[in-house]
Amino acid sequence: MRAVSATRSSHGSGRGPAVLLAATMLLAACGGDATTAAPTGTTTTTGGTEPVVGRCGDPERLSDSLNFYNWAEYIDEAVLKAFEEECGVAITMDTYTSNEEAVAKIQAGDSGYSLLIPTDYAVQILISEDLLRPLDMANIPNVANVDPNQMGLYYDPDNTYSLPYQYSTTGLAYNASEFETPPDSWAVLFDQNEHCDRSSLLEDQREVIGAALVYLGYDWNETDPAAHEEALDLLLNVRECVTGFDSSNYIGNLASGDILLAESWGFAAGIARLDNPDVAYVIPKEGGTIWQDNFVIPADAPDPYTAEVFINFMLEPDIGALITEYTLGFTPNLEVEPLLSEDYHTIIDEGGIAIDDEVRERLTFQVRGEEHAIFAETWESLVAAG
Amino acid sequence: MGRASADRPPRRAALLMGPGTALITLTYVIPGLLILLYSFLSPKLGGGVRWDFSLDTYRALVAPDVRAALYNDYVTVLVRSVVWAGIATGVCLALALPVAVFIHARRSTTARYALLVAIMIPFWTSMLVRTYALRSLLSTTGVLNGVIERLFGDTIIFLSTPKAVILGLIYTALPFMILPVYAAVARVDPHLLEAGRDLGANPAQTFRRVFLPSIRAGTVTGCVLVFVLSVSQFIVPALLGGGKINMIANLIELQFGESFNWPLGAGLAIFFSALTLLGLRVVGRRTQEVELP
Repeated sequence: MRAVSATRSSHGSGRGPAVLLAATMLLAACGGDATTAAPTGTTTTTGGTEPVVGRCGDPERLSDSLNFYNWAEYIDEAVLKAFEEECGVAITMDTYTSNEEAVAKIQAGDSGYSLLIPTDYAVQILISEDLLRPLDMANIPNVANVDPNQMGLYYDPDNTYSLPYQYSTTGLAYNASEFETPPDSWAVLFDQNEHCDRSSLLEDQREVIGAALVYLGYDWNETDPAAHEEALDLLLNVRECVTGFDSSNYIGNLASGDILLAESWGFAAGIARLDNPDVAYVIPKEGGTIWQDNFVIPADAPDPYTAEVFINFMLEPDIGALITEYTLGFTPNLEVEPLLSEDYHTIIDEGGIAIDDEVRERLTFQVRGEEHAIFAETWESLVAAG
Repeated sequence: MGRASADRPPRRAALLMGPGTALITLTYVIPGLLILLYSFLSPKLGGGVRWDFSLDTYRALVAPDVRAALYNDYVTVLVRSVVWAGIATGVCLALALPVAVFIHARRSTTARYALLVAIMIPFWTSMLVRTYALRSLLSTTGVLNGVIERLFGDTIIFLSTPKAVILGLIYTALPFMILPVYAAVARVDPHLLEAGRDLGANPAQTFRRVFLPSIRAGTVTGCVLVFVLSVSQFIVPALLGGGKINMIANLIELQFGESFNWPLGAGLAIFFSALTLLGLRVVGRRTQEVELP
C-alpha cells in the first residue's frame, strides 16, 4: 500500500530539527540506569499477572534478538537502537512494500518474524486465516495510552490480536502555487483536470476505483457492477493523460514540482511538503479513506513475549513521538500528542493533513471481502487497456 | 560423435545428466506442475488457493466469441506484449548487424576484445538499477529532454508511454543480439565473400545472398533470445510504463499481489508459457541450426 523508500532517504536532512528534539526527549526519559528509571506513563505492576519491570519487561524472559517485519522506511532507526541499548534486545528488521507481500510471507509459515505492522484489512485477513496470536495485554500496560477512537475497529473489534501503530488518510495532494483556489473536490483530478499530464493516481486498485466511486456519488466500498462500469469509464478517460499509477515515485515528484496533483497518502504529502512548502493536501468533499497500521504477532512467532515488550516500548510517549515525527502519520497514542514538535505540527496543520471531526465524517475504512473481487476485475480492465 | 556417445555405458550418461536434470526438476518441473495445479483451484482472499476444483480461470481466458475476444483484457495485453517484443527484436537485429560487422573488422585482437567487453559491461550493474537510470534519463526534466528542449524548444513526454517501454526493451536486450550475431559474423569464411564478388555479384547481392545466409544461425539465435526476454519483461514496463502500460508479466504479478487471484495468475502463466514454447517449436522446426549459447 505504501512504499516511500525511493524518497525517504533524500528527506532525512529536512527533518533534522524534529528528530533532534525527539532524541533529546528520549535521552531525558532514559537517563541513568534503565531498570531503575521510572519512565513516564508506565506502571510497574499489573496485579496478579507477571510484573512488568520498567520499559524492558522481565529480563529473564526477554530473548536476545527479535525479528521485526515492517514497512520500508516506516520507523526511525533510533527506536530500534534505543530498545537495543535499554533492553539488550538486538532487532533485525526486514521490510516490505505492500500488505500482500507481508501476508504472503506470514501465510507461507516459518517466517521467523515475531512482529509485523499490517494495515487494517490485512489484519482482518490474517485473523481469518488463524495466523495471528492473541496479544497478552498484561505485558503491554501502555495500552492505556491508546486513543479509544482508534481501538475496536472493524477488523479486530476487541483488539484481541492488534494494537494501532500509526494511521493516516488518502486524499488529494496538490501544488498550491498552481491553483488559484485550493481544490476541494475529486473533480480537479477526474473532470476538467488542467494539469492532467502532471497528475498521478496511486497504484492501488481500491484507492483508485474507490476515489472514482465516491466522486460519482457511490460508496468507496461499492460492489455494484453498474457503478463499477461507470467508474471504469471515468478512469479510462483520466488514464489517457495522467503520468501513471504510482505509489512511491510521486512523492519525490510532488516535491520537485514535476507532479502538481496526485491522489496521495496523507503522510506522504507531509514528506513532500518537507522539501517543498507549496505541497498541500485535502480530503475532498466527496470523501477519502482512513487507514491504520497495527502491531500484530504471528501465531508461529518465535519470541512473542519480547515482541509484546517491544510493542509496549513503542507505545511509550517519548518513543511514540520519535516514530510519529518520522512517519508524519497520526499517532493513536494520546500521551504522544503533547510531545510532538512545532515542526511536525507546522507540516501537518498548515499542509491540510490534520483531520478534525468534520473531516473525519468524510473518511471511510476500506473493507475487503470476497465480494470485493470486482475491484480486481475493474482494475484489470483499467490497466490492460491499450 | 553420434556413434561415440551411443557406445558409452548408460550409467555414465546418467551420471553426467543427473545433477543438471535434478536441478531442473527441482526448480522448474515441480514448480511448473504446482502452477498447473493451482490454475484449477479457487482463489482465496489474502492470497493462496482454496482446494476447490474450478475452471473459472480458463473460462476467463477463453472468450465466448470473436467480439468478446477482441475486448478481452488478457488478449489485449498478450497481443501488445508480442507486438512490442517483435518490434524490439527487429530493432535489435538492425542495430546489432552493423555493430557486429564493425567489431569483426577491427584488425587488432585487443580492439575486438575491448569492444566486446564494452558491450558486456552493463551486465555488471543490476538491471533494476539500469532501468531506474533510464527512468531519470527519460523524465520530462531529464538529460534527454534537456537536449531536446535546447534543440527544438519543446519537451517530449517519454515516461508512461509505449515509446519509453519499447526503448527500454531494446536497451535491455541489445547485447543478447550483438553477441550471437558477432559470433556468427566472426565465423563467416571471407573466401565465400570473395568468391561472390569474383562471380560478378555486386556488394548488395553479396550481402543478401552470401553474407546473410552464412550468419543465419547467429541471427536466429539472437532473435529467439531477444524475443523471449522482451515478451516476458516485468521491470521495464513496471518502471517506465508508470503502471499504466502493462505487459503480460505485470498482469500475472498483479494476480499474485493485490488482486488475490493466484489461480488466474497461474493460468495466465501456463497459457503464456505454452504459447511461447509453441512459438519456439515453430521457429526451431523451420531453422534446424538454431544454436543456443
